[in-house]
Amino acid sequence: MSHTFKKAMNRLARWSAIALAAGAAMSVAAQDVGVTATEILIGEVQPMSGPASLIGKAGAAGSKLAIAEINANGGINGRKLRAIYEDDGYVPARSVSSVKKLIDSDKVFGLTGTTGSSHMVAMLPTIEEAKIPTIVHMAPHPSVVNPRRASVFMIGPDYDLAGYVPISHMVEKMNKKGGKYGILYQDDDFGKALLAGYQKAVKQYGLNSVAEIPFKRGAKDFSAEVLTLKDKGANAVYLGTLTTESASVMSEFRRLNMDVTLGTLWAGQLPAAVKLAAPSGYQYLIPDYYASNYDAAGLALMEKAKKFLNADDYANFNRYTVSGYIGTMVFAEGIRRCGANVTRVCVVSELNKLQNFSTGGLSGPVSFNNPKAQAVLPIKLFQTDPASGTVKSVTDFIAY
Amino acid sequence: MRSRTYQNSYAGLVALSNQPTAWVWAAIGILVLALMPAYFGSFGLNMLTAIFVASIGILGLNLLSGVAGQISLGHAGFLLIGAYSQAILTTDYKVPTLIAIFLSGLVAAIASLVVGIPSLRLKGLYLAITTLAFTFIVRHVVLFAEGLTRGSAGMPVDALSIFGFSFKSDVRFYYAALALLLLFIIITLNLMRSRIGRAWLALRDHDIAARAMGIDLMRYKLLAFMVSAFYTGVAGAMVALQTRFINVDTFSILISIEALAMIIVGGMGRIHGAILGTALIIFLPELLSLGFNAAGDNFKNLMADRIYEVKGLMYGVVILLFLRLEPEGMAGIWRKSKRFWVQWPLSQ
Amino acid sequence: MNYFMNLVMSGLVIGTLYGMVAMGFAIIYRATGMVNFAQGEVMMLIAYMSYTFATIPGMTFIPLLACVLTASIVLGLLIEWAFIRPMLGESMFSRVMVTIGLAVVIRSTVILIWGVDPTAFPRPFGNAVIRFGEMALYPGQIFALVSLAVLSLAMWLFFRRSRVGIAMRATSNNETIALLMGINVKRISAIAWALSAVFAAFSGLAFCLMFSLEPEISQMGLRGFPATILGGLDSVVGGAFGGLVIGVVENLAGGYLGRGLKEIAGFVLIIVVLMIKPYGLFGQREIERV
Repeated sequence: MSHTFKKAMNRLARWSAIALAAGAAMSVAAQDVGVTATEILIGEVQPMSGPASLIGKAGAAGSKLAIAEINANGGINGRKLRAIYEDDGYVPARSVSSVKKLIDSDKVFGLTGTTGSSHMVAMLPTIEEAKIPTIVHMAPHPSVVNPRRASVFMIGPDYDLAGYVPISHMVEKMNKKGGKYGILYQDDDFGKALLAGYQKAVKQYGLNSVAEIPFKRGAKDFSAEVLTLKDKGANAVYLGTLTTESASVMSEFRRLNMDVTLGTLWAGQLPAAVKLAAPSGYQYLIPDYYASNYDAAGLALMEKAKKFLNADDYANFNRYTVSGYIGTMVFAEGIRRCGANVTRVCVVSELNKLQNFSTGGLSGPVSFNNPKAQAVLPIKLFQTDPASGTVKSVTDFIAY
Repeated sequence: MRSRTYQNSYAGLVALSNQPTAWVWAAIGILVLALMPAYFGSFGLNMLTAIFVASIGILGLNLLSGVAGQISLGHAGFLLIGAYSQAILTTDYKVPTLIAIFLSGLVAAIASLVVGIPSLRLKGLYLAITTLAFTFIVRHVVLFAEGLTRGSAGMPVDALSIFGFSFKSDVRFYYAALALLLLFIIITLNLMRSRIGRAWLALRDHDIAARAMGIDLMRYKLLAFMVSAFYTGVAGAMVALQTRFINVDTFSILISIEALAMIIVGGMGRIHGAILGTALIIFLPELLSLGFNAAGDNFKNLMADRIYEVKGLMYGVVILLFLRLEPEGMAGIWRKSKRFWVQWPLSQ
Repeated sequence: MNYFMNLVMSGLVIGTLYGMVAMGFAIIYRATGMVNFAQGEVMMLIAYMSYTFATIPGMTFIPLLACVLTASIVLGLLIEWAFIRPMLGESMFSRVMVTIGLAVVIRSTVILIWGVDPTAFPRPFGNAVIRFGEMALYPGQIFALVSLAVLSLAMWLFFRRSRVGIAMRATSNNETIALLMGINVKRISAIAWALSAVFAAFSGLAFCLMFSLEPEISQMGLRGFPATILGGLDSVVGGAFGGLVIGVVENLAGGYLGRGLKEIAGFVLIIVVLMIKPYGLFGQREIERV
């Protein structure tokens, strides 16, 4: 080799070494995706338009509330929190493209909102590939954690408890063991989970189940279904229906002069649902793992909402707002425990260790330190008071 | 200014283009598209892939409605059939994914006879509404036949792979979609210049005169439905391969309406119209987002959550504007601009 | 027997909704030869407007009905003048697509103004159940039944006795010739749309009085199609009849067959009927001139 060439190579080697060292030094001080010295960026995919917009807007509002409260208290270890909300219109294909946008274009640090259950399942491959820390809190579904994905954490019990708890209460506390039981369930896997919970209770207590009636989502008129229930003599019925459908069913019960004890699922405690069902005069049971608008903890959160949220979001406050609030708070806790060096790897490992995190009475304590990283929350039972259009707690948070 | 566009041979009349520059432009266009992955990240590629896949379906719908003149509101049903066929064939019967795509198209084509046969008796709006009924019925059948389709739980779909070469990544799938679109464009161009295409045009413009000329209406109507369903079935299979998870919600009745919007905005009966229309309708939400962002934070805060409804509103407004101002759609705008330049400086 | 009669009764009640929507489709088809895919959304808009009227203090039923009917006639005329008339002469496909675009615009506008939350609609007749013998009905359900009966009778007389009805048939057949015959095509078109809005008003009010005020009202439009087809696209009274039949068939299917067959019973029925009678039960056979 010629002398000049050797000198050039040496110089090149020297500069490369310096560059590498500088690069290594910078990468140690460099932040993870979505994290800067002053801010942490998170993302949410929510159904803000379309059929589930009531839920999506409330969830996003809860998250905004948590972020506003955190930032008002100085942020997390000196960094403010900011979120981007993408609308998927409750269509799984759009959920996938929204989450790709959040991960690739917006480069968010983590996800705290994951829309509906089948949408989350559609997004899972993208989320797994990106290894992005994700909190699922609005639509818990078994296949999200089965098999366990390293960076995904789920808050919420399995749906079949929604079917099990009210029936169990009717038998043990309301003396309805001898009653004729029936269930109206939606003809998809959400409804079938409720059916499974109902059947578990029937089998456990040896109940007489006279009618198990499926219906298609979107049905408005339940006259045929209610007539079938009456024909079979059912007097303790579980309604796997939502908001307006429940009101329509109860109105049919009233028309046919049926004396029934009713239970429904957690969406039944939405203020809109309670108000619509009130004229029919039934005091139905509602299980939920989040506080209601009328519990002490819920009222306290509404006070904060009045301060930090706009009028629309405050007026729309419901248990999904609570869900969004808790989801973001839990994620923020994971970030807080990482101190100054906030990386995805660190947050995932801190969340894995999370045990008995308190949400101030809005739910039971949140723990992810189990094989599925699922915080199976205890369930509270409410009962509606049609005269006032509110709900009151019947039990405290009980683990089932 | 161009002149001398007369032909003196049959081959010349039927040729795809009589200008060599048309081929050059086509090659440049394809090259530009092939280079897109260098500039666009996953999100942008995802959208472009969605446009290619939707274009295949719209080309099919265009053949049925724009060329053969049979209104169909039921193409969401064929998309659904194509997607589920792809899922079931690859998951339950272990058919190689590439072959499964074309088999899905075939299944959709056979299913189209359910609508095609009534079409022989029904006309115009009665046919349109029957096709609508078809979509509802397909949806219910999918939910009902749980053993086959897993009902409402939906099905995960294996990624596309040809002889072991996996197309799972966004970039590779983009090229696969582009290749398939080019294939179907060539098929369509050839169909249009064959006797089948001419028979369809006759069927659309005056079916009784066509019958008088000896064109077998029944055969060509059924063929139109089957070919159109084949395209849409393939598009459905590609949608399944892209999102890798399907359930009945993915293909709602809104998709049929969106499809018609793409045809209207693009221009009926024209291939480039179909593709331009698809691209515009799919880009529209993003364009609106950009517009809202550009309008500044104050505007955004004013609208707050209402932004999503405003986007929906704008969608309808765009359709109405096109119908009112440019019924021939983007293809019409293209044609008029082209003529302007060709006739320059004597254009009016 | 009681079970059967109850199912039939409920079927008739829900059938009135389908029937009134179908009548709305039919009158526009009869007069202009096109289908108004925005019928459900117009129904939704009028329902929400009625809600706003109903919340004015001191509004009882008769003034409410008067306000709603006036508003709906004005709305119908406005839509026809602004969106449909400019498209006269364009292809049928374009005209129908305008209604589809209009449907999207109306639905988004209603949600923008009134929000998506379902709301209880005021009950001007009270909420007591009215019992006659074995049957029990809500006032809202009685209103629906009475409305359909009154509207059907009115339409039957209208087409039998008035010249406008015959003029409508001429217009839908061939606009140019109708114009040459001295028929005011624009006026016929406007009347048809105004009438269709009146049907939408009654069906919207009936829906709200029976159920609640919610954005899903617009989906009633699609659900009214089987009734229209069954009765024949251009037969208004046929549409009412078709609605009742579809309602009863659906309920009987739901009560006796169950398993979610209720929803497609209607669609299956119309496909079967169309195979035998391609223009519906009461539709006019379209004679094509070469």
